[in-house]
Order: sequence, then structure tokens, then C-alpha cells
Amino acid sequence: MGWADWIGTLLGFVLTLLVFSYLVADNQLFRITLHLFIGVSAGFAASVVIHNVILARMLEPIYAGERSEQILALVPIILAGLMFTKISPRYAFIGNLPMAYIVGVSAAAAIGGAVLGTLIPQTLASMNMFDVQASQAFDADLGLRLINGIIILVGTLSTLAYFQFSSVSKSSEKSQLQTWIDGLGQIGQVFVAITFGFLFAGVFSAALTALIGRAVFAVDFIRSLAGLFF
Amino acid sequence: MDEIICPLCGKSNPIDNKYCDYCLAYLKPRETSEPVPDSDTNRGGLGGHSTGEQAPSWLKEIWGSNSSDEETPAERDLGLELPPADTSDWMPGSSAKESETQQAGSTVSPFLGGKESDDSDEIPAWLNDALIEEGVPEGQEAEDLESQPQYGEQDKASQTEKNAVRQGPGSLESAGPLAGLTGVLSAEPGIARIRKPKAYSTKIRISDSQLEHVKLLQSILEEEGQPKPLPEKSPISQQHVLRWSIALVLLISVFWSLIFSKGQIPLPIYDEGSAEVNRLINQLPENSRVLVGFDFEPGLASELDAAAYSVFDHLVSQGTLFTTISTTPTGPILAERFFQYILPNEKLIDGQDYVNLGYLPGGAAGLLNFIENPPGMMPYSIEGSSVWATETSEALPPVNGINEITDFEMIILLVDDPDIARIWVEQLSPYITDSQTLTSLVLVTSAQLEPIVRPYFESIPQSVNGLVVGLRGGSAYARLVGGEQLPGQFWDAFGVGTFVAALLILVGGLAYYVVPELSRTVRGQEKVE
Repeated sequence: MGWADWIGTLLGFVLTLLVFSYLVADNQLFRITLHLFIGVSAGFAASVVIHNVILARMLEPIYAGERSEQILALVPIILAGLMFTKISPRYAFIGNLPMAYIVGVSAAAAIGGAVLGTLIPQTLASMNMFDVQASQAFDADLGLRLINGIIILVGTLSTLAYFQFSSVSKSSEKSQLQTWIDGLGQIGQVFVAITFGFLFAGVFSAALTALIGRAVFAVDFIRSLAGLFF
Repeated sequence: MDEIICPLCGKSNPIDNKYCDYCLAYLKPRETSEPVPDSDTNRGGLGGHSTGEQAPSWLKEIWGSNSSDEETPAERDLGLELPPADTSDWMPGSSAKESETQQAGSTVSPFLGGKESDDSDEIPAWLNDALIEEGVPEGQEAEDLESQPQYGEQDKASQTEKNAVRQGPGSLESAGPLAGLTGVLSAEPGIARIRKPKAYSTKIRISDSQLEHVKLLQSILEEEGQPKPLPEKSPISQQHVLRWSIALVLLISVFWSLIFSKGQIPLPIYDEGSAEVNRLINQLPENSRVLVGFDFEPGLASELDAAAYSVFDHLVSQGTLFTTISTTPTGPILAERFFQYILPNEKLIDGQDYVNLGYLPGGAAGLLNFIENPPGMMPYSIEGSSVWATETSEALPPVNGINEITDFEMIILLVDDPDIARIWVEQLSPYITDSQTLTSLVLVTSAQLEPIVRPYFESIPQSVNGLVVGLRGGSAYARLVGGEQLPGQFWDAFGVGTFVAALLILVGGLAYYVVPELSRTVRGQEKVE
């Protein structure tokens, strides 16, 4: 390792220890480290955007591109300029034009993707669980797949029943339908609890791996340091 | 020439005129044969109807008692005799006494003989400002309130007084249009009266018990205003001890396994998602082109490095060429770091073995645009050089022959955010699920994303063709392909850490339920004893 690498590694080791100092109590050193990370991240993101978006996509085509590229590059420049009118309350309405364009395009892309990429495929997949021919094509164990399909069906319906927000009847006695929905909701509660448990396990697993990563870094650094002197 | 001014219209007339030339008003007082009645003969009634001799004895007494009263100038002017104002029966304070106090300039309650407090030290300042009159016995309060004239009654008395003035003796008008008439009502007798107003006490009268309550209220308010010192906190609380204990146990277990344990915990044998990825990579042709999305934050780089390590090691061994792109600003630098420092083989050459397209702005819309037209959306690499084929230059090897997204043999996404993963899958899904497409989508994700992305992998038809989840998925893949360096280094510590965490959760859960139950039982036994 060169001196630059050593300095970088030493800095990383010290910052790791400062972050771990939060275990003792919230302290100024931890906060300094936190602000340092936020500042570095924001600065790096800004530099990437300036270099990769503003210079490369907006300004470079103006002075280095062909006529068609120059005209096309004017569109985002004008729209971005109109966005600055949002600073003034008097002329803020002019900025509504690019805002409407951004919101409209983003919403169209997101909704189209959600419908075609999640809603329809997942609905079809839930139905295909009970399609014997399709299941045989993918999975030889038909019985297991059917059981899996039934669990998914019950889980979906009961979870939907758990999250039904109908108004409470004025009469003291529940209707038969309401009783059924409440019972189904109790089952749905179990599925929701299992899901949250699964999510917690995943988050803990990710955090533990991150901790191990830092521990590996610290052990490697100490070993390298020990190897340097002994 | 002498002139006389008309009292009505104000214009001048010759002095000899009897009437005004302009308004015909009398200019001089009329001489009447009817004598002006003496004030004594007109007491109590309208002009001339009642004389002192004709008045009843009770009225004479009243007149007699009031004869000594001093008349105000206004009364003298009007020739009126006002009824006594301060001799009402409902007002216990005598007029003589009141007149004395008024002359002395002091303020005394007109209603009762309650004593006034001079010792303002005993009562609070805010109440003292309101001029309290204290010392009235409680039982007397109700009587006093009943005997005190209400506002309506006072108005009535005042009105009666005014009416008496208006109905005064028949005075003779000496000038103006009504000259010569008697019994004319005065214009504003209330204003004309020059008389010292009665003095009413402005002090609040309170009893002894009320004073006690006031003092009590004041003491309560003063106590509320004073800051109460917080109970001194111990620098080391129970929560601190618990947190340090858990952290210490976890850290010791992780560091101990990293230092002393070397591959004692075997890697997981089989993972369905990892096995599917292995199968897909094995099917790739030599020098295949793979698009890689680096969309994770530096904080989870350790986990994703371990998960993706063996997958990319396998791909590199097959001579795969990579094109990287990121929808997060920190993604491009993480891609560089991964190819330069994490992979075990000799460093890959930028522009030859891989090309970094950099940051893709625009979120879902930008990604959709890139999927539909990769060369148009990302024409340059992160260094700013041209990547795709142009009239003057050839395309770089990783993107040679790529015009559409489906020209890539495989798309691998390294992601730690559920929303970004969902956007990628949703936008790519119509292209991936197409039966004509040979491109496969593989996700290498953080463990916290598994509940979100697994349905895309489990569904039929698949939106995601392969799935490597966290360290467990990476370790399973490492066992499949034989590259166990990085995942193996992590796996022992991960196994020990997970075991210790599960143990802590179990012990904590048991303690949460058992300790209160035990203490309740002990308390019950003590009560029985």
C-alpha cells in the first residue's frame, strides 16, 4: 500500500470507531462523523449531476453537437430556466409548465410500469398457481405447488379482509357478513405478522452483514499495522 | 340707533319693536297679570295646583326636612325643588353620613357599613390593586346583595328624579317663542344639574374565607410558576446497561469468529435463486455482453459485495463484458470500486472489459427511455467519451452490436432499495417476459429486499429469472462455483452473529413474559403470608 492508501485506510478506521462510539452515548464526535458523511455524499452527488447531466447533456451538445442536437438541447435548458421562476412568487406560475411536464411523464411511466410489470403479472401468477398444465411445465411437484397456491390465496384474501375499512354498523349485533370478514381478518393478521417478522429478519441480516464488513476492515487494518511494525 | 336682538332668530330689530320683524317672536318679556308662584307654594306639583296649606301633613314633613337642603344653582335657576335623592329606604347609609364622607373626600360603600381593609399586606398584590373591601361576614353577603340597588333600579330612581324636575312648578318663560307660557319643561335638566355625583366604592368586598381561598390560589399559582428540579438521572441507566450488553455480546461474537474461526461453519448447500443464476450464467456464450445496474448505497456495500462476489467472479471467468449504469448518483463510483478492488482477478480494463455509462437521471421515466433507446439516452461514458458506434468511431467492445436492451444477453441488478428494484423490474418486465427475448434478468439484492422481490421470481411467467439474496445467497452461489474467498470470510461471523442474536431475542422474550409473572406470583405469596 502507498501512503495515500494508508492515509485513506487510517481515516476509514478512525471514522468507523467514531461511528461505533454512538454505542456509549450520543456524542459530538459521532455527530461530526455523521455531518461529514452527509456533506461528502451531497457534494459527490452534486459533482456527478453537474458532470454527468448538466455539462454532458445540456451544455456540450450546444457547442459541440450538430444543429439537430443543439435544438434538442435547448428544450431542457429552457424548461430548466422556467423552473427558476418558482423562486419568485409573482412569476411562479410560469414554472408550472415544466413541473406539469415532469409530473405527467413520471406518473405515466410509473403507472404504466406498475400495471404492466406488477399488477397484471402478479394477478396472473396467482391464478396460474391453480393451472395444472402450466404448473406441470414449471414444477414437477404439482401437490406442493397447489398447497403453495392455496396458502397464497388464503393469505391474500385474509390480508385484504384485515385491511377492510368499512363503517361500523349502528346496531349492536354484527351482521353475518361482518362476522365472516372479522374472522378472516384474524387469519390475515397472522399473515401480516409473519410478513413483518420476515422483513425484520431481512433488515437485521443486512445490518449484521454491514457490521461484519466493518469488523473485517478493522481486523485487516490492525493486522496490516501489526505486520508493518512486527 | 338702538337695536334689540331677537332671541329666536338672532336678527336685529329696532328697540321699539314688540315682535321680531323676521320671525314674529316676542322681543321683550311679556307682562302678565298672573303673579309668578312662589316656590314654596308649588312644591310637589304642577304650577299652582298645590299650595303649602293644601298639602297633606306627610308631604309637609318631607318639605320641612328638606328645607334645610341647599339648592343647586340649576335648581335655583329653574325654580325647582328636587326630591331628596339620597333618602331612599332601601339605602341604609344615611344621607347625612354620606354627605360627611363625601365632604371628607373618602370612598365609602354606599350600600353597607362593611369595613375597608387598610392592611394590604395580607392580600395579594393583584387583588389589592382591585381595591378589596374585606371583612364582611359571610351571612351578611346575601342580604347585602339583596339590599343593594340593581342597575335597573338605579335607572328608575334617576328617571323618577328627572320626571320630578320636568314636572316642576310653573315657571314663566321670559323670552323666545314660548315666552309667556308657564310649566315649560326644561330642555336637559340632567345636564343643567350641577351636583356632585354620589360616590360609590369601587372596592371588592370579600369575606375572610374568600381571602383564605385567594391566598391558597396564589400559593398554588406561584408553585406552578417555579421550575421543579428534575430527579437526578443516573449517568448509567438500565437501558444503557442493556444496550451495552447486547452490543458487547454481538461484537465479541463477531470479532471472535473473524479472528479465530476459519471456515468452521459450512456454506449453505442449495438456494433455488442462486442455482437458477448459476444455470443462466453457464448458458451464456463466451464474451457475452451483460448490463449491470449498480443501484445501492455505500452503507450496504459490504453485503452486496459479498453477495455479488462469486457471481461476477464466475462471469469474469467466462470472459463476459460488462456495461454498468446507475440510477443513484453514488452508483458509478461503486461500480468502479467493485471492478477495480473487489473482484479477485486481475483488474478489469475500463473501456475494454467494462464500460461505465454513469448516472442515469429521471427515475422511472429516464429508465424507460434508456430501455427503449440505450444509445440515445446514454451516449457517453462516465469519462465523457463516446461509447456507441458513430460515423467516426466504433463502439466499445462491451456495447458492440447493442442497439436495444434485449441485445444484452443478461441484465444484472445490484440493488438495496425496494422502490428502485420494483421500478427496474416493472420497466423491464414487458421485454423480459416476451417469449422471443433471450435476455434474462437477475437480481442480486440485500436481504431486506427478499420479501419484495421474491414474488417476481416465484411467479409464472417469471419477471425475474434469477435471484441472489444477501450474504446467504452469495455464499450458496460461492459453494456452487467454488469461489469461497469473500463470502467464506463473512459466513462464520454471520452464522455466529445470527445465532447470538436469536438467542438474545429468545432470552429477552422469555424475560419479558416470565419476569412480571414471577414477580406477580411472589407478590401474591407475600399477600397470603
